[in-house]
Amino acid sequence: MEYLDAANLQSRELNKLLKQKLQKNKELKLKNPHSLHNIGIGLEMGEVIIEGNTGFYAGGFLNGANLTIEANAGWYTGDNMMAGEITIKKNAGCNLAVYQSGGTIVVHGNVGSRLGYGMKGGTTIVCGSAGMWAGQMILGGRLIVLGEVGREVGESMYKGVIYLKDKAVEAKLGGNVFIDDLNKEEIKEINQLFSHYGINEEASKLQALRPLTSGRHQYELFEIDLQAEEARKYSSKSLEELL
Amino acid sequence: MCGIAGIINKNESKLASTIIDILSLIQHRGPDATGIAFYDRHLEADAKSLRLSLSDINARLKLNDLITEYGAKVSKESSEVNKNFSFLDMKLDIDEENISGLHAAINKTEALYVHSIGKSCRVYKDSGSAVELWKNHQIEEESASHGLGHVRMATESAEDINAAHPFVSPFYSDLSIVHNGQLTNYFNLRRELESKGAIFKTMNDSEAASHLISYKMKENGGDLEDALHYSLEKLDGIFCILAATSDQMGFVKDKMGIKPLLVFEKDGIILMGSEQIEFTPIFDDIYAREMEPSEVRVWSI
Amino acid sequence: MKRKKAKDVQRGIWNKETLSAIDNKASSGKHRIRGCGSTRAMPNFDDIVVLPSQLTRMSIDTYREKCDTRTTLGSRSAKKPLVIETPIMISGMSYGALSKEAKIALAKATAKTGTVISNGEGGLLKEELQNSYRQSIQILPSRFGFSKDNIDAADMLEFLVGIGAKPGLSGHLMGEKITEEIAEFRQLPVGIDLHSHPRHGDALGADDMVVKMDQIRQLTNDEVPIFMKIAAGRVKDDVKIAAKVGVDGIIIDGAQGGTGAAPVMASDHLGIPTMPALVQAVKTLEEANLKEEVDIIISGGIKDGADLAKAIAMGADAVAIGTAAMVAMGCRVCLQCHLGRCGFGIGTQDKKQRENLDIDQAAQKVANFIKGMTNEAVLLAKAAGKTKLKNLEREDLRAINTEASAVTGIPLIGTDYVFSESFGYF
Repeated sequence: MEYLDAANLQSRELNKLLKQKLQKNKELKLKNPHSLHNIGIGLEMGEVIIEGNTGFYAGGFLNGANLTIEANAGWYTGDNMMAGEITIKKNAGCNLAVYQSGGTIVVHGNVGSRLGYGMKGGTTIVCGSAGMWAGQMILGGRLIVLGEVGREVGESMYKGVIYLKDKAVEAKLGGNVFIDDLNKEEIKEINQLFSHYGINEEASKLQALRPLTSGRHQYELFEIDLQAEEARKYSSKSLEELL
Repeated sequence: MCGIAGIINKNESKLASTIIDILSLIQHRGPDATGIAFYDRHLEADAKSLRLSLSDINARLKLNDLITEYGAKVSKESSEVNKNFSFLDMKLDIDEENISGLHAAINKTEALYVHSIGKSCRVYKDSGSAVELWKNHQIEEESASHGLGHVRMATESAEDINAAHPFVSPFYSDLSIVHNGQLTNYFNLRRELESKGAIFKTMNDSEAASHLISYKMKENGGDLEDALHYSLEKLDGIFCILAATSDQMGFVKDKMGIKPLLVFEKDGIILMGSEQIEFTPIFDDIYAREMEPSEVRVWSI
Repeated sequence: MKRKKAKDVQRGIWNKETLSAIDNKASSGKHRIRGCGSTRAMPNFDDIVVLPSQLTRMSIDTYREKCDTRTTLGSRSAKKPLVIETPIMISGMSYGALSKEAKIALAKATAKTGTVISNGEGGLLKEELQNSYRQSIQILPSRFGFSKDNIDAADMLEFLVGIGAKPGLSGHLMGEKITEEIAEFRQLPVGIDLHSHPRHGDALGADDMVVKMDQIRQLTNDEVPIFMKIAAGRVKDDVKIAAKVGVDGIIIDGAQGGTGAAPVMASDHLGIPTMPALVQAVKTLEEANLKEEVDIIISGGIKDGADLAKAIAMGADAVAIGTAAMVAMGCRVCLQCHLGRCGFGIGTQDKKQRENLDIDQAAQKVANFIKGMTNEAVLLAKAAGKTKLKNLEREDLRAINTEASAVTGIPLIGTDYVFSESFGYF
């Protein structure tokens, strides 16, 4: 397998070289990525194994290629991803899979907050835990989190589905979502995904989070709680006096 | 719009170069200025250190007068020059209780601005990158247990050396802070703090946070945790603030949790920062947890 | 003499609009939402006049001599800057807020006049791309219908931070307008009242934006100009940051900017008007020595050639029109866009109503309007002695009242006095 050493490269030169080399070789190993930003953005074909940490936006707008990050990935990894696969062997930062619309991302470790913000399609599997606001305002796609999730999961999701193993999820739900069982078809599909990606897990142990589309989204803005009782505490006169 | 870093190493070591390494990895978050603060416990016995910037050479005489006025004596002095600024570095013999007074008096002079003063706090800040800060300044360090750093992208205020972080305030000279984010009630805060005697040297919102937290610490007898909770109530907007004194260090994160703040603890080392990447000079392979919105935490050292 | 009756007394602030606003809140407990943007009076380009050539200068023959209007945008770092025939672009109005027919008509108008149309929120309509002369693509926080294909199709990109009609607020599309067709296009459930994403999920702050900008540049092979669209507020700071992030240009949407639906509070009380915003943006770029590099497009209430000429004189490189183009198609500014029941077939998704808009006729009207507006601007420029529209200068302008002089820094008519800091060699 051909090696590419990124030790003395900046993101632009690296991406140009990656594109050139993938024309000839199907597979490529990237050494010393030294947390560069924008590694492998928009790649359409080939397989790149990155032997180290990546910075922001690794695999952004990925369009068919296959990226493996052998260590940790920075923020916004797989942003706006269209097609292809990203595997992260360790952990990923915040906003993983933001605006993802296709392809698959598998993270073997944990991820930060805002997982899959505004996601529109594709699949993202997190084997570890996910931070706050996972699946906020998602418009489609599948998010699977096998560890714990942070608070307000699925807030204002419009479409799509979030599968969770965290049993304590009820206390962490965002607005406009409900907990549901998986149907047979889903269990089958997800078990297939698990076996395909070598994840030792069983889909029937998961719960699904789905959007409530029947009701209108209600916002705090319209529901200002004017607390008369609270206000009276600060009044110098008691209620009796006022009356 | 910035990158921040904090490190506590109970084993003590040379921290300044480590903080510079960390900041270099997040320089993209702030190309305009870089600053570090660390707490060196091994300065010469009884000597206090004073670092300040001088933007007009004529203010030098005034500085000498102030030092004499507060009963201090200069035992050692060096200076560095950069564009329109001179940086003065002094060792002072001064009574502990006069430090804050001298600090405020120096800041009252227009062309002078204290970057750090006291027994162990050392602040180095300048325009440009972390590497430039390291190259252009003789960073003097024996051994420190904790410190913080900042790379700045100027948003609403000027790209001025004094507007670089960390900030210290005469209300509590030992405290230094770095801030990532923007405060949206800066002007009201400023008016309020000015009424309490604060002297503002820049238009940077973070300076207000520095005065606010210091003021509270002056009032509560140096309780950083209490002061950070207070700042959470008082500050509006988006912020992650790291704050340190010679024996405490901690952080506060805003209610919305927009700005990143990661914390990692291992082997007696505590790391705080904006991105995972910045921890790699210390631990090659770790995963730092993101802190909760409204979270405040303080470590004693 | 007849006694004045109480009913004939002027009510001051307690006018019909105030009463209606209070009634509305009294019955709903919510804020009022309307289409079209602000209706209140604000300082605008009408308070400025252009100085004609007389003895000291020679005017250009209106009928026989040329005045060039071709405009190049985004040459700061884009390898393929955008070249348009007239500095009037059609601003981003979404398919969803507008009908498909209206979008196609606008696109066709750009082909007839050699200019650019922006797609607006909610994806790129295939028919729009097919019919437009040049296509600008907006990158919005919501990213409805957005994909890499959109970037590939773009002649210009707009990173949208905010719009003048509701700056600091996220998009709002009433359920009535989310028909099956729109829902599919935006990948949304039918009929949902949509409160969309308030910030870019893939760039939380200007620091990340620097890296993001590099990403988009790499994806476009550095060819496509990248603009940042911001609502006019803290113009000086925002323009400075945008320039620092590395944009090729800035689109500033003033408080008069239109929209399909916005809280009346936001339209009327958030942000500053277009003209003073332009002045501040120009000053900021000049102070940073970037005026020649970073282009400025302004929008928000631009309605005729005089606005265009004066904006160019003040330092804009182009203007964007929205409401004016809709009016050219037949819109009567009834303020009811948010209901989605537009009898003219413009701001609606109703099949029946959409039939009311004849695409080709509408396209011709918009094209005529753009031509007419360009003609008007050229007429003023020629009278001021310019053979190129962009050669209009702010020293060619005067303010007709103290307010306009104060907000622009241009001298008051009949004096050499500027009622604030001077904006030029006065």
